[in-house]
Amino acid sequence: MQGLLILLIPALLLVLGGCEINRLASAEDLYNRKKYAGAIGELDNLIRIGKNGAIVTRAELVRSNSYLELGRLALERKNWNLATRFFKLANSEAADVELGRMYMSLGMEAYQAGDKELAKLYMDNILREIPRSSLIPEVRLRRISIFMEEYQDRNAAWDEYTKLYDNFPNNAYEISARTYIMQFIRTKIDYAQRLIDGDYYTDALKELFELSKYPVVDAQEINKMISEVYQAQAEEFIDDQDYLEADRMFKIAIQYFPAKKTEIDQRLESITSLYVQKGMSLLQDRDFDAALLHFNKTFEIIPNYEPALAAIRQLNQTRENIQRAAQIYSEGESQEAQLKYSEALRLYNQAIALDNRPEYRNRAAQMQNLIEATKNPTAFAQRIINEYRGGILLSRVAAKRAELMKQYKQHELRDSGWKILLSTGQFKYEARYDLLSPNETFLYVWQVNLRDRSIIPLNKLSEALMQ
Amino acid sequence: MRNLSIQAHLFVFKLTYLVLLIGCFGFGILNAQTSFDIQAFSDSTKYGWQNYLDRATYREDITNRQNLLQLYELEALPLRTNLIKSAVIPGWGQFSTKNNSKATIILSIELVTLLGSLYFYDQAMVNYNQYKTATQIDEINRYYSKAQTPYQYAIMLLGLATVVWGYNVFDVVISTNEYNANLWQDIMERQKSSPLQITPSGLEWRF
Repeated sequence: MQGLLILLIPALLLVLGGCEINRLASAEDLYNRKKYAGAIGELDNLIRIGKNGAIVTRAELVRSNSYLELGRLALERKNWNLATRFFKLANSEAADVELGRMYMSLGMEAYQAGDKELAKLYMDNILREIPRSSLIPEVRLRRISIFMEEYQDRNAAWDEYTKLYDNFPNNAYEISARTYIMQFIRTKIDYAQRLIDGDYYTDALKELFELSKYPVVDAQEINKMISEVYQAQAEEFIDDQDYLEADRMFKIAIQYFPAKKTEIDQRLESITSLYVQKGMSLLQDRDFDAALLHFNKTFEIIPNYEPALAAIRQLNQTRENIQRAAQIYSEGESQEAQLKYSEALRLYNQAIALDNRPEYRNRAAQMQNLIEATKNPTAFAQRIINEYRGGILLSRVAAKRAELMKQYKQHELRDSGWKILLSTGQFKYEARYDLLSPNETFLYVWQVNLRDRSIIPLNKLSEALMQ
Repeated sequence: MRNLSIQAHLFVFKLTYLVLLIGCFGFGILNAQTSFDIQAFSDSTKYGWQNYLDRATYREDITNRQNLLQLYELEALPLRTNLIKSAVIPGWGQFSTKNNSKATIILSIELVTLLGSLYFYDQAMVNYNQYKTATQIDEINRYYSKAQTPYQYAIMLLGLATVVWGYNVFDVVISTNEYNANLWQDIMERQKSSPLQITPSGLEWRF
């Protein structure tokens, strides 16, 4: 029995000793006795092999505190490099505070000693290593002062200031930083003005909008400049006859600088007639909605502007005429279907009188052809031949005949004269003219479409004659 | 002579066991005495954090875990309490760690062996009392020999009960550690699947 107990008790002690919780307690004990390195060694092992995540987490927290304490000890001994490493290894909010303080203290020492490059290096470290530090506003202020005093780099100082203001507006350090920025802000405003003068409106607006965000400029002055840019753009749109866009630009200009309202209103009044002109041009192109938009725009400038009212009346009348013409045209089509060509022609002509569209004109011409074709088709076909391109067919056939007459005697030449014959298809006729000599034969033949007065050559000889 | 030989073997075994134990501790101490490399010890990248972003990622992770520690502390089984439970009633600690089968077996064996031991002890004591009141030499010898066998059984069963008890105490340590380790995993899983998240910036409800 005694032997069994001798075996069991050490085994139990070993098991208990190997327990993660006891190993953690042992490491915590080392930490409490300020044996941080020993504690870290124990904890590293425990974290590496531990199976219980909760104990591992607690071990990591104790390890972090151990590194923090080591960092503080290194700080006391002014071993900056070692302190930095330990604080980074601690990787906690408290360690960040200590690390930030150390960098700031070293940076300020370097700054006061005139080594501004080194001072900037420490400030950069804070920005890079501890971007959430509460020291950031101060760091940015120091960097601005270094940029201005050491490097005379205004752009870098401005970038730094924008970051400072964007993240910490009205912070004490941001307010202090304004004095540095005020030293060169006028040059930035002047640059924007030069961009405006050079018609680089987009770039100018970009500069001005950026400047307007920060309290280092006179907001009124910047807004006035922005207003001027929009006004200048509006004038460009007027030149391009884009009056709606011009109007929009003018309105934005007023929003940015309401004092310009009277001036801009006067300018708008002076261009109201241009709105009506543009609207009339759109009306010609049958873009009624856009035309109406232009006419209505004038009323925002001059209520009940008479030319615009007249234009709107004309627009409405035109719309009405178009609708009526379409209706009459449709009636004409129905009459045409009933073979009442004269009635259809009358209706088509009425539609043309209301709305002179090519479609209506073509249809009326066709109807005229049909009427004539119905009355005397052969005469009409002959007339089409006679009138084709100013009588080119007649003259060329005659020329050919004269040419043959020179070569042959009159009795040797046989001339058929113009013959109009019915062809295949409704309202289609064939026009023939034959010239026969002892050695040569010229047989001309065309198909004439009475409906649309078109002539199609039916052989190569006829085709050549038409060219 | 035979008893002496067994005792000698037992002594050699104990001695070897102690030497091994001392050896283990000694190795640990010697190992701890190896030279200390401050550069390696303070290498800020030794945990795999190459830059601020790596450190920030780790910090976010440990902050999340730290927030879960409270839950863990509420639900975890204290080792000491479980050890006492199992020491008082074998298997009780195992029941707490939800190892019900093992707990039942341990408790059953413990009860059977203890009750068996008591039974045989009682049998032995009945014969022993008769042996003490007997006046005839034959009766004295007979009762003595009748008391011997149950007494030996009682001792054997008590020994077995002790071994099972010892194993039970040993096992409850392992079981509790395993239970707690699994509990942490469980809490982590619950946290991941829960719409209510504990984040470094506070509580967050995920839809």
